[in-house]
Amino acid sequence: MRMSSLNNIAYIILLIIIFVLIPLSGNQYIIHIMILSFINAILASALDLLVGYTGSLILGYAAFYAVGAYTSTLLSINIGLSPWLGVALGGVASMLAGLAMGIPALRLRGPYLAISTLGFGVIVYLLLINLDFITRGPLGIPNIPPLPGAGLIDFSSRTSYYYLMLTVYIIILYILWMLTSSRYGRILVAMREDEDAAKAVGINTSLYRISVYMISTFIAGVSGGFYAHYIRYVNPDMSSLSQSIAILSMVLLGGAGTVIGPSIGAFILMFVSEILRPLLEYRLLIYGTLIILIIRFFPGGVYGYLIKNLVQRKTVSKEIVGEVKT
Amino acid sequence: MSREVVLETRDIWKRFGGIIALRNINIKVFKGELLGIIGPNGSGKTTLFNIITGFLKPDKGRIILSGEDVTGFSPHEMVKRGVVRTFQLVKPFMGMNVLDNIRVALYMRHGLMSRVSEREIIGEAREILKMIGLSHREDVSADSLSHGEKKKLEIGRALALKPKILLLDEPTGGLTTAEIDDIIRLIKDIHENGTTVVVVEHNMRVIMNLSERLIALNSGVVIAEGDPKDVVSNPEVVKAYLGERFAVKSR
Repeated sequence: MRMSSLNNIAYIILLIIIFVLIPLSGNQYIIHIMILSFINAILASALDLLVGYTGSLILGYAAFYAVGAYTSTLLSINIGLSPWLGVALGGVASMLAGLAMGIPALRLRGPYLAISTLGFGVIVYLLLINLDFITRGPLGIPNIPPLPGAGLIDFSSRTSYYYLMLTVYIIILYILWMLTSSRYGRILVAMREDEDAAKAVGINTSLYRISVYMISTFIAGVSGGFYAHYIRYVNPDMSSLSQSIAILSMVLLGGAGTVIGPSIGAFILMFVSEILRPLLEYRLLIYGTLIILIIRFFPGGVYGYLIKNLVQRKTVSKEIVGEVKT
Repeated sequence: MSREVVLETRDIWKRFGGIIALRNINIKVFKGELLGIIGPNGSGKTTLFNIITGFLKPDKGRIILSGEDVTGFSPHEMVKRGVVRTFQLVKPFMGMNVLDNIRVALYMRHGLMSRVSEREIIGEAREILKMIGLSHREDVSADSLSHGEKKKLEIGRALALKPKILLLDEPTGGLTTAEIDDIIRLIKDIHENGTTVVVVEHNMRVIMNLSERLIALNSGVVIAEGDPKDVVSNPEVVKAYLGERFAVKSR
């Protein structure tokens, strides 16, 4: 057991070294895709907290990404707020939106929850289009200020933004890992496995569900803010159904409920969709097919498949079996 | 003999659409007793459990727990007050292993922020597994347990909460004779340790073996109450279970 956790740490360090070295290639295109991958990996990991750890199928998740991005954008453009503070407040705004969706949805499960969150996503999308005196409607908002640098670091350069996103990504993934492997995380899994049984052991399921909605949507909002100050342009498509489906595909492709899985999914999908750029119009079709195939043939996602076929064959570590089962 | 009443239902009514599941239920549970509840399918036993434990709210009536009115409290508030239940259809946390099933309950009893170390929690969980006879299965995922083991796990999880009143909903349903004997012994142990136990059962051997006092329900009404031997020979009860013909014969 000790051996395998040492191995895991070795893998993680190796991965971080690779990530750190990538910008040295100087390939701006790769760096750009990597930055977007980090942002999407953060977003997908946040969604996984709901999909994987509480078993809630959320279809309109991109709404929170958009709320974070627009909040930060509008605050920094209209009242000149520091984009750093804007990103944090974007997280808060997204969290409030999460409460607005989460509280009424507390009693809903399965497809009903999915439909109601889909509705929420559509509402945010329509608001972004129709409140054009604030959001400029479908035109979107250009010329968003970049994150101001500190000292010698200037975040308008792609390479420094890359390292910033890498750092944020590692911090958030670490927090999520701590959270899900804590007592709190076990309680979430218990709720997912059986809500009635969870109540019967004294879990205030509503409270826990709301708390996890808040954490998840805060992170989603923050990732939206980082996106806005990187691309420096936002439009309502950030909250579109296809964006939501894309995030969900990342979670399912990588492996829901595994912390690291959604990141794998995010990196694969970001690079694949770059390769398949000519087929952009068929994005939803591809994602939809992908989701069906994954659920049918690889319910544990890529990560689950890897663990099952590579790691388990070597060492039947009970801990890992437990993890993959989730 | 005046015994302390720990739990009391006062004039409980519950209706589901056109069906009245419980009508005017008044029962008392005395401290430290082992109370049995019997009744044919659909007589309202599980509904009564659901109402007492906060899973359902009564349409009318009150639930009094040691003098406190707890009507309409949520399940977690009832657990905090020591009222713990099991389910007729077992509900372990399927994807978790046996030890973790107990651990989650222990987290809740000690409080999420408690300083009780994980080592102590695991130690405590293993003691419970020993008591319910599942020590050798602690690493096994709950969904691969046999039905009998799941029933035991369910009782173990309830025990982890150190209940004052333990409500067991058909703890021997679907078990083999040997497994039933295990469960009977387990329930007796729990009771002897000072826990008040309320058991809903279909199996007459179990109920006669366990209960000190028996309540019979039929169509949402208490039809008999008292010494188990008297209750099972009560003509109303025989009639409810077997029909009119047998009731006359048994007289």
